[in-house]
Amino acid sequence: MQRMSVTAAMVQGRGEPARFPNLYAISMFPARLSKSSTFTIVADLSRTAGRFTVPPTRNSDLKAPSMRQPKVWSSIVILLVIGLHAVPVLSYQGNRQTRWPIMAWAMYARPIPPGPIEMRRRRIFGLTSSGQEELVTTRLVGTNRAALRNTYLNPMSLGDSTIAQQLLRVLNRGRSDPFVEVRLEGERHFISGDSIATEKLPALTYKLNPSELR
Amino acid sequence: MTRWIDRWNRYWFPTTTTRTLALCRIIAVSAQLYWFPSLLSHINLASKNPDFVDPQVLIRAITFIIPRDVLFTPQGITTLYWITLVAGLTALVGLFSRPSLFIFALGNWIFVGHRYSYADVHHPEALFAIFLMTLALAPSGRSLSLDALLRRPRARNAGASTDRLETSDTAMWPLKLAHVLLAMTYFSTGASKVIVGGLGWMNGYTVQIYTFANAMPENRTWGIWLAGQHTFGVLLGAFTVLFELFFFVSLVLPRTAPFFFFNAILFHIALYVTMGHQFFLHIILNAILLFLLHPGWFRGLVNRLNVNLPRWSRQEQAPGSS
Repeated sequence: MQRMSVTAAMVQGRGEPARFPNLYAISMFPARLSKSSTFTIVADLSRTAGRFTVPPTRNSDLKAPSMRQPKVWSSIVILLVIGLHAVPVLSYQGNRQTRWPIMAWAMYARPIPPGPIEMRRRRIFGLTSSGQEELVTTRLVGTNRAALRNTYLNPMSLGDSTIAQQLLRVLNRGRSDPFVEVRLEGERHFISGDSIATEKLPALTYKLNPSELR
Repeated sequence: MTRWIDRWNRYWFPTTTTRTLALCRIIAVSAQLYWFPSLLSHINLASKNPDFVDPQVLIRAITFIIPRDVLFTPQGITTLYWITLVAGLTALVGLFSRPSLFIFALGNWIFVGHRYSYADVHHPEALFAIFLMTLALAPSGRSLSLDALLRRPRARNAGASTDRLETSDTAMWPLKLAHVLLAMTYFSTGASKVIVGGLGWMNGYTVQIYTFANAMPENRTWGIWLAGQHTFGVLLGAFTVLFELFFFVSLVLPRTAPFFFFNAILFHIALYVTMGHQFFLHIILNAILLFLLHPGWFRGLVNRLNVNLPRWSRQEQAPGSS
């Protein structure tokens, strides 16, 4: 009762009567209901779905029968949304999830063992048939940053020429001045003492297959 | 069974003012309008890719009915863009609130689903998108809306009290669901760290290297500095795992909820400043819950300070007090 009156005082604010239930007292796992509670419940799920009777609060009127339906549908939505979140966990798709916005939330789960604090930054430059050099961006490829990195940058840095040819095909769609070569450049940055050191990585060049030019 | 149903109703459907939900509508729609999808980038994605790579379920369902070359073309995407934008504006002012909210939410779902159908999926928009859709399923236009304004003369003519329209027992469940989903997702993230690597996530190097990898490309000064601090790495690693694992306590002990929401806001701000992770919508969602899930807490805190501060200062000034 004391907790109720404190919270009633919170809600009162400017001296208005406390009209609303004690939200602080209503946790997910509330204490046992008092037997002298003013709430009365009639539920008969087995006969008719949705026959929840709204428990009257102290200061509100009993709801008309037509008002019962929103609570049923809301409850169904609540259970559906919460329940669906088990699906991506039970059927894990890794990085290529396809059930947005119902997702598994396992980002950055992998710990990294002790070692140098370093990262590698890579870029792709394309050379066209007319001799123009252009930075290959996500816009040019028609993808997003992570996809560009995972689909092209990383495999190409490991020497995958098939992916390089695929990239050239993608870049050359609808181009009058096609790319004939892509060059992968990059640096390795690492923390050394109090400063950041940089080391250039060897460049990798991939030329377009002559058959693709025709 | 009746006891469980009663518990369910008491938790999810307390009778409250609809103004809270209306404020949520205004804040959420404003935020989503501010971070509205980019028309040009979607046209670019659709034009440059002859087909989807890993289409989201929503996109697959849509293309089952409307072929890709009808909707996901520059013209189709532009039409969808303007329909969604107009729906957002009408949802903001509360005109045909629920249909507007539904169209606005669905439009945003389609845009995000489209963006994530090309071998790249991220998390920042997911929970907020669900929250936006639940607003369409709750009486979000009952207050602070043009709908409410237009309804008043009708209600007065019918002899009904206009005050009665301001309360509802279905006004809180979207916020409560958002709270539950946040707890679930934070716990899932924390648990995955512990399951995959045990206590390895708190070795300091994990935070340092992840931070460095994200901060360097964008030249984020604070992130680059943090990457060089091993002790901070250990502390932040521990804080991250503990915060994510125990966020659900805010459900069990509602009085701790403001503490968790406030820390979540700081957490996501820090993630943006150091690593560039744009969980802005999570910040907005936590802020909404901080101030609107239990609106009385802030007033209670101010009242308690008003009561106690004079007493504390009197105690300090009293002679003989140490």
